[in-house]
Amino acid sequence: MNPAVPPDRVLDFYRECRLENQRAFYQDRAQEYETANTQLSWLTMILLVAAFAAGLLSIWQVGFDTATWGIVAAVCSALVAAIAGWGTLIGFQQNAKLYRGAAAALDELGRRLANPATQPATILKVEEVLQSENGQWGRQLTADS
Amino acid sequence: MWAAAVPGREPAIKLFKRLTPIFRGPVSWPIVDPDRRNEFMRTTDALTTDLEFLAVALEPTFGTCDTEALREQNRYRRQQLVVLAGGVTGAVVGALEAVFAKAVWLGALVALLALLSVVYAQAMRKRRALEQYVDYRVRAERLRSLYFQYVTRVEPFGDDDRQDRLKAEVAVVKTQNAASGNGNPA
Repeated sequence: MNPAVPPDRVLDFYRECRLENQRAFYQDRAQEYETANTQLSWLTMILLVAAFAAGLLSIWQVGFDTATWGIVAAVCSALVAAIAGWGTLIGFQQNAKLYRGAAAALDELGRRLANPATQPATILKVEEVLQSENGQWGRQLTADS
Repeated sequence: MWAAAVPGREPAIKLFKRLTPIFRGPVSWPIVDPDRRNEFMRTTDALTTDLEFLAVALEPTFGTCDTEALREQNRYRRQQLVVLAGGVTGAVVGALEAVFAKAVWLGALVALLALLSVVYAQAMRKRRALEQYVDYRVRAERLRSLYFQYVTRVEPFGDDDRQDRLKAEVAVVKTQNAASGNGNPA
């Protein structure tokens, strides 16, 4: 089968409603997850420092007794574990990478879409990239659980 | 997914941005922004017939799969949050128990939390929210892909029997189990 080149308006529809929309989605989500991952690292560090400080203060019994500072240290440590779990659940780091990669691939394919000779093949390639991202995401999610 | 590009006031704290949607009901967005779709339909006859056909032949199935995917995603994340909250509570109560060694009820509370965790973990395994979530999401994304392949008339929708081909493809996506690997061509 030799598929016909889509008419210009159909191609505009595809470019805007599929390719550009999906690329914008990946870029926005990658940006959000990268920021979230940085915030997660900072919060983890702050809580670990707080746990360390509580440990030291418990030795010197500053303000409260050893037991109270021990509880504070335990709460901080438990929150670190919970926040790390939240990061794994959403998959900030892995998904940010995945989305960046998919956005870059779509960026390149978007340029190729301008060439009428390769339009049908490029559209199929775009769909392949999107399905591939979806497959990787599913495998990653299942593996993380 | 076009909804993600809707401008609005973005919260500075991104870390917990995905937390609130977990507790809301699933909201499925159409494959194409209705306003943009209508505008294209007004100006392009070639698209009008195809988009009207897709609205009947594909979009209802997409809506079901997308809604179910969101529902199971939220369910799965809620389950995981309960586990995380259980872990934090257990650690804190454990620390309290170490400090207040004479409080027997704290020991009982730790034991109760452990028991509840085991029961909850078993219930989670039975619900299989993660498998359902991945399954429905893969189906929805496959349908989204078919939508645009159909509109642009690329393979396998380049021939005259393209409407029948689409109906057959939608039926396959509807019935097969994507989680088993049959639903994702990638």
